[in-house]
Amino acid sequence: MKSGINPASRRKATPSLLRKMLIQKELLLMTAPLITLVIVFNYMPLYGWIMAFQDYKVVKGVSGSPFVGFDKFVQLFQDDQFFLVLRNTLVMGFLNLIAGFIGAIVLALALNEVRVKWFKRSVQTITYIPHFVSWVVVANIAHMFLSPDGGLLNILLQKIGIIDQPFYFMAKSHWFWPIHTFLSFWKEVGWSSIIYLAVLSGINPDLFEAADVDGAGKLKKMWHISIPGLMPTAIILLTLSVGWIIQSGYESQFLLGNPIVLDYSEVLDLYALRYSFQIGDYSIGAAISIFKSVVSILMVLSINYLAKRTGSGRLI
Amino acid sequence: MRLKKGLAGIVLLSLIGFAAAGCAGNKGNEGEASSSSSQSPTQSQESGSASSEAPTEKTIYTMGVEESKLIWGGSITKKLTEKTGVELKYDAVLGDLFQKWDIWLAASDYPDIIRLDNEHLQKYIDAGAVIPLDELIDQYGPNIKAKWGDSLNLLKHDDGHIYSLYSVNATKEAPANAKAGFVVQYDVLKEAGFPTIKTLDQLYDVVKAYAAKHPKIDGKDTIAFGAAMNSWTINVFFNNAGISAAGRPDHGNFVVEDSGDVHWNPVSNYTKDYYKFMNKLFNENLLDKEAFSMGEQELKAKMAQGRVLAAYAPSWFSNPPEASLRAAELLDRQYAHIPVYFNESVSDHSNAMTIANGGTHEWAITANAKNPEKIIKFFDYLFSDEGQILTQWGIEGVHYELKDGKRTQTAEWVKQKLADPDAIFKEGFRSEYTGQVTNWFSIGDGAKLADGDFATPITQESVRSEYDEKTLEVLDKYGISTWADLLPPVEKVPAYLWQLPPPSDSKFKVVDQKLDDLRRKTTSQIIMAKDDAEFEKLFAAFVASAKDIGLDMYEESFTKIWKDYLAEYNATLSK
Repeated sequence: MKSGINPASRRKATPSLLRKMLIQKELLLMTAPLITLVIVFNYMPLYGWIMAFQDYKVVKGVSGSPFVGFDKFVQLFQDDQFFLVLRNTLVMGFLNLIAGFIGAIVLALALNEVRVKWFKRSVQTITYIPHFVSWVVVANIAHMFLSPDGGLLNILLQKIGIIDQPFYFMAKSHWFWPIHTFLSFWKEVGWSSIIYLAVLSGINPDLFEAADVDGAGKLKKMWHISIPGLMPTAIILLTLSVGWIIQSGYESQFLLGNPIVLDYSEVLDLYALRYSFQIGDYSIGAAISIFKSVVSILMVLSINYLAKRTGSGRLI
Repeated sequence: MRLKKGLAGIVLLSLIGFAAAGCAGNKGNEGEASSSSSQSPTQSQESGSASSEAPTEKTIYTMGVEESKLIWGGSITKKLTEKTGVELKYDAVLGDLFQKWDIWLAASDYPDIIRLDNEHLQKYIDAGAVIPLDELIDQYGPNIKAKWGDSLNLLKHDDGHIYSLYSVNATKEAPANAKAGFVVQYDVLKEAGFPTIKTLDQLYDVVKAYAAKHPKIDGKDTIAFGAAMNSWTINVFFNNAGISAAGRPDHGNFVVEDSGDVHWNPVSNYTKDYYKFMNKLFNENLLDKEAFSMGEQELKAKMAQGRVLAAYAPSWFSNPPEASLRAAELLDRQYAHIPVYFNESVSDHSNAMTIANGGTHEWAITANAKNPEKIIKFFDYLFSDEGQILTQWGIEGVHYELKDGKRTQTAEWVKQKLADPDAIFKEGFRSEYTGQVTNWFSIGDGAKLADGDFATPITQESVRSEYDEKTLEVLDKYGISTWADLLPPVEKVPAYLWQLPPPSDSKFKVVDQKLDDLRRKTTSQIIMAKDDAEFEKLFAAFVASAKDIGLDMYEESFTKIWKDYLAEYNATLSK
């Protein structure tokens, strides 16, 4: 029945799409390199996922290794260490996310209130510069700063008289998460606040003037104008970063950690790296990578669903 | 990288061209195509005896090495290129060596020649990344065969192939520059009035007294006892040290009973006793405060600053910092190398010697190498008497001269060596090790070449002639002429367990990894225990966890490897 009504419009639609493409051919051409990049770097490596279902051996390659089904996943989920590592990844991811999210918004709100131009600019620059410092350097600074053998912080604490023996920060497993979160925060907070500052400067000044007329103070204005103005952007950024919680990389943990704090510092990527390289079981490494991707997709979708329910900005 | 490969390709092509034009006549009778490697067979035409005829064409091979000071271009390396047509381009690994080996393997981007330990060698073999050498040695390695003799069989892996070469011991005596494992600074001994130190308790007393008197050295905190734990250093400072104090031969992380049963040393009583000693040091604030998060470089730097009073530091570890101390004229801060035991009654069997020096420093040729025949001929030249003299003694008239028909190092060269610790690198006396402290393919200090003279310059006199006045003074106080005098007599052992290829199946590797993780996590906790009760509790928990992981199966597989090797060894010897 329906097909009886539509043929004319369908015939019309097909050429119009073609014509549309023809009209926009320059635009399409411009997107081509980017799409190629995504295909080459994000889709083609998925071929390697086959390894997770094989007993992969380097000599035999993907085409020659025997298939073992879900054996590698079973092996993975039977390993106690795996859950420990998963816990570390999630905890450190959440700590970073929360500290970074709240820190960036607070910094942006505070900077927005500063009326002295040069001071605002210099604080902004000083806070975002660490973003460009690589983790190798940050980790080395941290090691030297916290060292019990002549580290600045220990000397300071001893001089003030808080401690009489140097404190071995890097050998206390419970200290790893706070140290790691603090350093990530220091490194990234300025950078992430830039976008909020841009949003704040785009809020209609009329709103603030109206609030002034109504007799609202600085805090009231922040609470009723600035924060609601930031919310849509904040929700979108939060949604995006939730997907990264489990993919937070391994650089920082690898460089800051040591064997003593392994139970708290090892994350999924490091665990995969160790399985792949040190033990030579690349299949487990691939299985971990699949697991990570699935979890992060689920996380993004669920946060997106929540955002939709609350009515603020959403991604998809 | 690719550009250089291209360049090497051009060189190779022109080589083939030369060879084809020069000796087109004997092309037919070289039936060596059986060599399992797929490399160009034309190359092999330029003769089987590399030493007699100098090839004029030069091939550059890359080699992955640990030591960053190595250079090709000294007078000895130049001569090697002249003789063999091989030039090595050293690719020094910065950062963690084992990781780099793993990454090279994963990316199939390894250098032409690679030095590996036997564990990684096995991974490379499994991946088909290194080529078998037995047929190449058969054809192009007359000198390799001569120097190794029947022991060549011991190089064979399970599959009957040889994959790596290292130095062989043709000597029966300990080298005159051998030193005991524990070190104490001269100045510490001097203050204590040069006491005899035989036990860990005595060592503890002298460093404690010195550290109490001198809390700072050169403005920095004194470190009474040094150690490091990152990467491989845990094996040296937390495992080997205890084995040495027990007077046992160094089987790596294992104790081999007389019955042939193998036990994992980290759970042994030796380790427990040594941890106890370290626990005491830690609680008295005498152990390096950041020992548990340091690596090799940090500890060496601290030793070179003269801040570390004592440590377990075998000569291969303590030599570079001591050279720096001499260069900085901190002669008092150099180390006396003293054997130290758990108690007076320990009988020392640690001065063991094996047939060859495999295990940690094995040279292999990777599948990436073009024309591996040329590399084998290069190795063969190094094993020849001429090559031995060149790499160990140097060039006649420059580094050594003939006195009454005997090779002797020239006075200028000895002086130059003492003045500049890097001179041996610049001249080319150093390459990547082929055994713990063996350079090039040495056949051992005290071994003799066909001409009846020593293969290496290291004799008691030469070692003494390189000591500074402070060292001679300290030796004099103890009434000995070299540090080697303090060592017990040499005992021949069939091999060290760590020299043998470990089991390779992945289930074993998982257990191995878990045990290693466990040891790394718990060692620091045990040593940082507040009191004896806590120490005992933590150590017992550690042993229990190791059992849970699969310690019994792990020890059994090593026992099997050891017993299999012994059978092979006895069969080879009885031939």
